[in-house]
Amino acid sequence: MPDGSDKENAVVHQFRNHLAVVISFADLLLLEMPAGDPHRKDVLEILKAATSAMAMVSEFGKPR
Amino acid sequence: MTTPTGKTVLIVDDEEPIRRAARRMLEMDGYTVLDAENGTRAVELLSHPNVVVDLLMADLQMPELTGEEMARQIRANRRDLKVLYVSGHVDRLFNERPALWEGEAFLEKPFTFEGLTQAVSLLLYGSTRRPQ
Repeated sequence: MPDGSDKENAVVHQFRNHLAVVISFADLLLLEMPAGDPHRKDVLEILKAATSAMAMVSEFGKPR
Repeated sequence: MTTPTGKTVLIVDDEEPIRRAARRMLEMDGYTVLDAENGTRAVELLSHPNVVVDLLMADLQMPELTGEEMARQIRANRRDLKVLYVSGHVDRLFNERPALWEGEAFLEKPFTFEGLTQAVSLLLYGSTRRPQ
């Protein structure tokens, strides 16, 4: 069964790559932040939102 | 401070920020890291026998040479090289490639420090925690 259109797949691929960059660097920030850093919860919000967006975009470009 | 592993990982991904994130994570865990922006560069780099690499981290979807084709070419001369395939499309990978060979593993994007370092350690040491 064919995937979504080539254009749709290319957009999804690029979007996922951008989100992967956000998630990986947010994870690195958390690793390097001291436990009591006041910005820790802000970075966790970024990570949470990017992870939710990744789950949403994963619904596109799947076999139909 | 993390003790050096003495192992070298070659990261091949056409996305520079992905390479940079992976490099930082692996260096934090004590690995020496080389990188290449495409498969052709990686094949060229590893054609030099004096370049020692223990693990190839290969993005599957790259323009020109795919990660799988790149790994096939490199492993023709380096049969012991471990390969960690990375992709954002796990379902597509398993449609095209229902089995992995010995010395290969798969990691889904996005990856975190824990996920990446555990996958690399599993391939190199047979355990998700590398020896200290």
